[in-house]
Amino acid sequence: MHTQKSTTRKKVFSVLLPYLYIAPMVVSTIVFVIYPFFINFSYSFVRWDGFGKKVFVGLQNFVQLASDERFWSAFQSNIIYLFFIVVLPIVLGLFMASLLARSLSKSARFLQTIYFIPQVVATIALGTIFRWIYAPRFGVLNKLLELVGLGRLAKPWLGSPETAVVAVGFIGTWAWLGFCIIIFVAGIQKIDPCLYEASLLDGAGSIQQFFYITLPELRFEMPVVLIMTTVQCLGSFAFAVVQTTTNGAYGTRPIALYAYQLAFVEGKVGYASAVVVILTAILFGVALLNTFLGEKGN
Amino acid sequence: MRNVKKFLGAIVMSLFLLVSGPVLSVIATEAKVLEIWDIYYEPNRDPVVEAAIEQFKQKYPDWQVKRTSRPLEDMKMAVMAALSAGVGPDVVLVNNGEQMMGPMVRAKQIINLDPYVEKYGWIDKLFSPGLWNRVRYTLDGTQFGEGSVWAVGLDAELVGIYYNKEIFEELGLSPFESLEELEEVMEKVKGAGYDPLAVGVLDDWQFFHLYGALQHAALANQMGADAAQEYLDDIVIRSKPERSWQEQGNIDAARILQEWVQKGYLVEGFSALSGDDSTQVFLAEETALLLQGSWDSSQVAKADFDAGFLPFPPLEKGGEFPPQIGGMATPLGISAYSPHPDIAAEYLNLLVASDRTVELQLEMNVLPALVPAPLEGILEEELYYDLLTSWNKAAELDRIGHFLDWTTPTMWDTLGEAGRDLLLLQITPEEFVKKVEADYRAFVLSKEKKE
Repeated sequence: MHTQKSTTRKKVFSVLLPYLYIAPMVVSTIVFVIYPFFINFSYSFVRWDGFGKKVFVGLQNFVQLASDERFWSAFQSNIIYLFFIVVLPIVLGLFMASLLARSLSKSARFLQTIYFIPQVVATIALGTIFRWIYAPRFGVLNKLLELVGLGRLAKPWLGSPETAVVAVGFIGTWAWLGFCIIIFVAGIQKIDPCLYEASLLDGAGSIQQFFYITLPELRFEMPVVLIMTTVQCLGSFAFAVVQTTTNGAYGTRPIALYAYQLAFVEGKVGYASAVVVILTAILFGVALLNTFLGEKGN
Repeated sequence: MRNVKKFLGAIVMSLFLLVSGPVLSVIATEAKVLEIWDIYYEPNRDPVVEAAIEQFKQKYPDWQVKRTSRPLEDMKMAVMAALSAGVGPDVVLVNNGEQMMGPMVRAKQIINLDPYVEKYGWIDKLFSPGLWNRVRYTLDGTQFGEGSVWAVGLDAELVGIYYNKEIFEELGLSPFESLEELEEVMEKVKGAGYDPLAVGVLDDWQFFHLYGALQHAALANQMGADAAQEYLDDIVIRSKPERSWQEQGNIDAARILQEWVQKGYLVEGFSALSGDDSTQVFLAEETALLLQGSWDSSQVAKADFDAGFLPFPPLEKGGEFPPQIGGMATPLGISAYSPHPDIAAEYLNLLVASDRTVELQLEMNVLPALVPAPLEGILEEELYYDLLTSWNKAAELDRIGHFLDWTTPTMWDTLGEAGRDLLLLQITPEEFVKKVEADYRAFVLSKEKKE
């Protein structure tokens, strides 16, 4: 009888054990991701200043968004950042990874490490460093331009509507290029060398090898890079970089910073929640599109 | 089986720890603990707070003090979350106006400080009467600038012009007494190869000061200084619907600012400098003048050169002393959920009105809340002397102007964007004022609609 009980306990325990292992992650995801998401979603239907009573307004916040110039201006900034934080690092990353992955020299590994350094620097520090690089009077960039005889090109990079968005976007390119390179190099290194050898016998050049072997073989790495850079572009990275460089001036404010401004400066928590819901929907859209394209590619 | 028991034991222990945390915290809450949430962590404010806590502990030896100090926006988030849940500290950050105070009064989350104001005699010894209006709201929280006092600030702030005495001496310049003289100074400074005025508008707030200072002076010239003060009080804190930004003084100020840009009076690259950067540019002796608040006086006092401070002058020589941009430090109030408001008020009194506070503030070149600020022992040639006399004059005349971003919840954005366009000469002064007026009118109408 005792043995039977013990066996049953062991069985129950062995069934429960995997759940116990994942419990901390599940609980923290529920507490810090799922619960806040649903709370935020519920706030998007109310008018609330963050202190007093919440007044249910239905879809009014979303309707208001459609004609909110400041929201669309932030949306436009995010589109520009998509080019600098997603497209450019991926394109340049592919090119540089193709060169680095084939090299067995120590300098290639050293370069990979150098390119990855921006990833280990805190985003706020990145913003501050670049604010000083771009500074109009003492900034390294303007000083360098003067040094090489291009002083006429020196300008207040962060203080002009023509250059501010590009200057901020470039910080994203610089920061995320290393990440793309590392992931792509890892992907390229696991491609069977026989494929390249066979293609050589068939008379394929480097460009054909890249488009017909390297690129298709990176189908698993590409979604990772795409999702990571897009999330950072729409989320915390762009938020922190802009906050520490221009604070949103000259058309540089991304949607995330606009939501922050609405909630914690203007006291429109409900409206800010609606903005965040839209932002989350865009992210979900990108993730779904990515999955769809990935599956189609496979 | 032993492993299973160990595992279950670990789970039970974890659950115990999870449950015991809140229980212990409840016990701690029942102990005599005064909890303070402030934003006074800066090097010239933190010692004052610590000294007040020390005095408090000496007076109430059986009480403990738990203080948290964070930047404004971080603390605001914490306050919003805590008070909305009916918990939080005893002494709490209450930023002025619709940023925090109005919503908190309407939600009955902070208590009316009138009894303590009377008990401790704050109004008689601290700040000027007009400045107290910036921590007043009616009991229903609908009207800012009138009614009861809900919070009190640690010290005072004043915006004016710092000048490099050595450059002035080198160029044979004298302190200016009118806008005309200020422009003459800037012209001579520019002629000598210096940039005249350090100012940085990248993060907007210094534009509010720059435009605001000119606006206050231009309005004083247009309607008289007291009427200008009344007008500014009406638009910035009382949101009077009968007032409008479409005033000649507002347009004149914008026009003068554009002239300054065209004449090259503002430091090169001002559009990409932050407000804090501008102080560094001045300290590096790149400019002769700096438009900045009293909060940077400690830094300027430590510069490698002698510096002076002047209030923003009237437009014409001999004109009335115009309202000077200033205020009280972001104030603190008492939470309605505090079980011991009298004790919290006792702490606030030690913080804002004790002799030790004033003593420390004078040591650290901070403008004290005490008016008039004592000048004993301060040499006339010191920067701090200039600062205190300017403050005393503004307080005595009750002409403390406003930080314009308080006007409406969206004014920071509106004024910031319109200001950048103005300084880049992309809009006319009239268009600038029109944009600001549109924001003001929208807020006034929405306020009327709510009421």
